[in-house]
Amino acid sequence: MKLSIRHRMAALVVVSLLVALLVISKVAKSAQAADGPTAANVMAAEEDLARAMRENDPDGIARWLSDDWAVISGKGGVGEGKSIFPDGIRQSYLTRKTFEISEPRVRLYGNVALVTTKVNTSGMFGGKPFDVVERQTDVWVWKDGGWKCVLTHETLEK
Amino acid sequence: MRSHVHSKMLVVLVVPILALVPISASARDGKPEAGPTAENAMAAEEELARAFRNNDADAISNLLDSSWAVITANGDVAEGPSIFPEGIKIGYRTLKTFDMSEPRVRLYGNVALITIKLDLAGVFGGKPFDVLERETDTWVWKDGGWKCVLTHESFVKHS
Repeated sequence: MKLSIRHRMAALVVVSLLVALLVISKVAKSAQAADGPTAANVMAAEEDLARAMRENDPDGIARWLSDDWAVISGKGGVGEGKSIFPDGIRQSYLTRKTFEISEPRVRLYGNVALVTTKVNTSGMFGGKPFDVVERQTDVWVWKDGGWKCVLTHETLEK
Repeated sequence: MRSHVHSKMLVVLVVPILALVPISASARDGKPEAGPTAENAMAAEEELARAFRNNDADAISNLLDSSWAVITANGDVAEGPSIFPEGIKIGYRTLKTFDMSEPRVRLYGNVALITIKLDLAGVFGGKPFDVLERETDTWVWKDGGWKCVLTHESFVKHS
């Protein structure tokens, strides 16, 4: 009988915790959507994408990129498709040691944001080391209550 | 007889004028009704390219937003729509060639992204230049027309 009461209490605690987590998660989600596009939350997205790049986290990168994402590389080439960086990391073709952003310039035009940053990045690309300074513009589009990057345009600084 | 001729002339003159009023009104209304499209964004891009090619400072100004900035091919950031027009007016920057190709156009509501390859030649600060660039112009649809808000340039380098 005592064991049964303990079990019931434990079950009650577990269920209560699950319900509380569910409520908190729903409130947090609706709060993000209710905020709508702002310079602050697009900069947060930019910083998390930079963190994913720095940590060579392919899933973290893919999560922020739109299906139609493309990159204009520092050499002026055009790469289409959100899997370019994640695949490069998984195949160890691209491994970053550093990816630091600074001097952000953020402009919001309705559901579209332009974030230009200075990027200090180094690592290995195709078996060769690199260490460069770039100026990069990420174009973000607000979709379904969150930001997705649709274009990255890189320029090598002289 | 005279008044009959006058009446006829009046009809000949007035009727076409009256007919033009609704045509003109619908043409004027037609532009905003068309709204932002990939086609009219590309037309704005071509107009801006023509203005650059012709070193037409005023035409360039007309297409740039007051918040416009350029990320130059050297990675510098320059703010303000008067940069290129003033450079042209004082003879600091004169283009001889401005040929664009390989356009990539994407439309996101009231914003269009146009990436192009550019063959660019001219004189800058007294020195001749001849370069190949990849450039992205970001356009925003405002008051029934496109305004460029950002130009981001990169040199095309063949490795």
